[in-house]
Amino acid sequence: MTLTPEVAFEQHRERLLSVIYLRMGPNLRVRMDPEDVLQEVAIEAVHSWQTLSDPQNAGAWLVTLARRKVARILRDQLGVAARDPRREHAIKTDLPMPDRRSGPVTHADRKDRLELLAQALERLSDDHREVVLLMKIEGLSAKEIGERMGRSENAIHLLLSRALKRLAEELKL
Amino acid sequence: MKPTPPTPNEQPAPRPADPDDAADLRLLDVLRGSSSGADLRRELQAERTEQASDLLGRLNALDFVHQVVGDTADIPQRLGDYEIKGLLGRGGMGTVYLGWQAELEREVALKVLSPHYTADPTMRKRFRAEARATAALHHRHIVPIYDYGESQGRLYFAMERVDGMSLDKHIGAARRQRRRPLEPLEAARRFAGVADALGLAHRRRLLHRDVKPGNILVGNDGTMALTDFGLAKALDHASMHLTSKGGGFLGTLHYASPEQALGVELTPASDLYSLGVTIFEAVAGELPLHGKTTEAQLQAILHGTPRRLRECVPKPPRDLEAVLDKLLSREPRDRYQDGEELARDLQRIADGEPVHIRRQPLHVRLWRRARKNPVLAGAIAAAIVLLLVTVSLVTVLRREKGQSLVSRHQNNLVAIAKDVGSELGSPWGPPALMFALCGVELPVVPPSEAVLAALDRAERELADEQVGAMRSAYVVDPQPTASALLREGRGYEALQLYDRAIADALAARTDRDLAVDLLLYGLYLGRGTANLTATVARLNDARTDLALASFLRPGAIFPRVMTDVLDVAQSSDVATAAARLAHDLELASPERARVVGLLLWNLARLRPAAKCNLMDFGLPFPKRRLLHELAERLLGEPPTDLAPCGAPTGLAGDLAVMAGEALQRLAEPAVLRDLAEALRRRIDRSVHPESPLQGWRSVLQLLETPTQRGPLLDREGKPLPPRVQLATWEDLLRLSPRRQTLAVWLPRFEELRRQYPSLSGMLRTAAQLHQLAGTESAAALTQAWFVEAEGDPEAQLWRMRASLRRGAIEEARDDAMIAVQESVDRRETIDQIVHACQELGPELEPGIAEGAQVLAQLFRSLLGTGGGLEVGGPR
Repeated sequence: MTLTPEVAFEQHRERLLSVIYLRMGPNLRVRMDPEDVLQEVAIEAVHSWQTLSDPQNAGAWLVTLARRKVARILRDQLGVAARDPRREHAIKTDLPMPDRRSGPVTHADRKDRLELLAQALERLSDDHREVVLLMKIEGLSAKEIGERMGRSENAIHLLLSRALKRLAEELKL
Repeated sequence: MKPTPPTPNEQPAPRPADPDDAADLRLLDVLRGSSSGADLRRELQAERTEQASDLLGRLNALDFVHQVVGDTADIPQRLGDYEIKGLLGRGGMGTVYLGWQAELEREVALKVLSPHYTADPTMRKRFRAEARATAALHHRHIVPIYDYGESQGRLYFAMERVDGMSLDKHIGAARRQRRRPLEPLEAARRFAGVADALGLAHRRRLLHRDVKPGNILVGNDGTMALTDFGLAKALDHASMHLTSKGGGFLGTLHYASPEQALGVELTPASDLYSLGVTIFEAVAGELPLHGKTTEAQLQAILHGTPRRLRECVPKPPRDLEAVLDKLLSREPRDRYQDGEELARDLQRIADGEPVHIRRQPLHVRLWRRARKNPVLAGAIAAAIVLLLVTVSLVTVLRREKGQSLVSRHQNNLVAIAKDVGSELGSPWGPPALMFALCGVELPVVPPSEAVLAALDRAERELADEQVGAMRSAYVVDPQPTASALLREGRGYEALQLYDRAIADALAARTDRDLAVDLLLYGLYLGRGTANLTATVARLNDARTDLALASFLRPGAIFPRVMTDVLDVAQSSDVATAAARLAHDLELASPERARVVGLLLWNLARLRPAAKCNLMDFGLPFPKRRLLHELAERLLGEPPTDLAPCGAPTGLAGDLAVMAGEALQRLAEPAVLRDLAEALRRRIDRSVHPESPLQGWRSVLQLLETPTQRGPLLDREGKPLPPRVQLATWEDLLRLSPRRQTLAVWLPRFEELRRQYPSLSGMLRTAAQLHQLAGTESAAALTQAWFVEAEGDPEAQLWRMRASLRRGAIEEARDDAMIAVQESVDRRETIDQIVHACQELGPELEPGIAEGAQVLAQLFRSLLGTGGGLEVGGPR
């Protein structure tokens, strides 16, 4: 069975949306719906599908598309954003902070979870946020991340472990 | 997209130096993927140390992230008899996988409890409860359960695999494509099954408690099936709050009923409310109540009024709207009580048959509001007191008039009370009975046979004098004067006082809803309605249409009311309402048709650019032509003057003429003074203090002190409401405006604009004033207005003017062309274009003026061909 871009996209939809949502950051999310960006990524995926060499890598390839898309938007919007007064106050959702185990976090809709995660990640240090994003959201291997961040693979795993600890604190899990 | 498996013989892990490091090491294997999180979790759950809880937290965080991205990393290979083929979705309690049952060669949907709940006894219980609940229900529109089990430490159950997608995905897809998810009739047909399924669950004493699009699966053939009884509860224990231990909300707030949001006792009607929200969303693509934040959503559910279907869908089936209104009632007892009953009605709608329950009867809605509203409640209480008075009157009558007569009446009373009471439901029963006694017509919606019969009987059988006495009696009013009058036997005067009291209450209130409801209450009282309507109309209420509509019900004192309404016919809302009525109603009575016709005709005359938004009725621009047409159709032929409509409209006409003259003679103080004096007398004589026509007083101000700055003031020297001020400027604009007066007034108008930037219509007036005054900002303002107006030919025309002023002939021509194409009455638009070209001519540069002339000629020549632009435009 050959993999079509549509199928691949549907398979990885949730991850792609997460990548876009979290990479966009709160300020850009005010200005632009991540779902719209996702649609654009889908269109791009269909157009450049033939550049994907191995269907096995479809997920990683799509994630790369999504990341580039967001990066491009961020770059394009930077000039505009600088003038935009709204930039100072991105929407603050008043989702209740999750309570341990029985709280709404366990029942929140996926979109809410994404927002909760985004909020929690915002409060992490840059390193911690990045390692969670790269490894768990964008699905890079520890080795790849290690090369990027100039650390050993084990150090990356440790960093992730610490990041998870902080994340658990922030999410009150 | 799993992380790459760890390569052995990497650098050694750093040595643990502190407790944190020790914890890190235990997690490391899981993070590397060399051991399963489930094993570690089990280990940790047994430990109960600080480190264990820290690590459990980290595992949960990991799980949380996995769930967010829909990670498939922790999918088991097999569960019991089922081979896991893929992920179908994730819910609050767990994950749904696509399973394959080899022995039966069938696909199943496997719902697996989230690993980190598996050890939680409450969650295990709840999960099992869901399986049991669903298993107990055999229904075509409930996804059936095949199997329940535990394997590799995971709880799961197998359900039928529905080929299709959940309704929320369906809705989401439609929303992305900017279309509505389901056709109303189609929705009615499909949801009938779901409603019936809920009915079955309810009969089995089971509440679903989480009805929402995400829990309705739509098969590829369009069949809907209810699933996920994850929150289902036995009805007997339904008093349990729907809040979880931590106080968080279980279930999805958007679809929660008010009682669910409050956490009070749930009934089948709660599920039906959620289904109502779901149906609404499936038809409209939007929610009936929506808050941007969780808190706002909660407030909306508890205190908001749900939108009506027609606000989101053009011309929805009325029955469906009525069914949704009923479903979305705030009080559970006002909703359907039974899924089957709802199913039947939905099916009827789909089949094009009339439904049993049309809509919440007006009195129920009134009553409900009354309970929240002391003034109205007081009025109703008074009405009920009156009933008692009535009864005692009957007792008096018995003494005075002899046993036989009275006993007959008593029998009537009982009979009427029974009819009316059972028809109207208990709260409204007594006042209804009273009305019946008073011989006052009760415009029940819809007027039922029983009530009409009862009323007939009341009128026929109760002697006139008795009716009179009761009529007086029912005006027992808290107001001493009225009571005193009543004691003196001057019942009718008391009645009028009563009307006044309500009218005053109306005028004093800013709460529009209350005003309208009071008005409707007045209608029920059947008296003083004219005053009341006029008062509401004077408040320039956006819901005046409601009031108007009410009057068109059979038997209301229509012509008188309409005359009063005409008093304030400058309100575009009234125009809208009138147009709506003319458009919608079968105007059975020629008398009524004539009044509506007159109203429309006057509107067309008086307000050439009436802003009434007729788009609601699917009627295109320009409204003026439409109003004319409607009026002519209703009247047969247009009236020759404004007089038949009564003084108020005539007043506006007079004022327009006088003010116009005054404006033209600004330089002649004596004339001006006279005119101003005449105007003032006219206004004082016949304009209600609250009327928008008070704006005309501002015309006086402007005439008397053209250079004075600041906002327009009312009689007491307070600034007029912004909308009245704006209306005044618009009126001025329509009176022959002169360059020199505009130059004086523009700064004042701009001051107002700065003060109320959000006032709609301001751009339009600003653009026109500036263009007429020829200021520099005219072009920019016109453009802004043009953008706001979205293709209104009027805006297009003014843009053409701006283009001409700029000297952009080509653009002006395009603007003119578009204006003609957009307009319905092309002839009229062309007239306007020609007129504008000629009018502007003298102000333009010679070359441009010539261009404008050519343009005018071009369009004039089109007039000869009937405006048939299809053949060829100016080239």
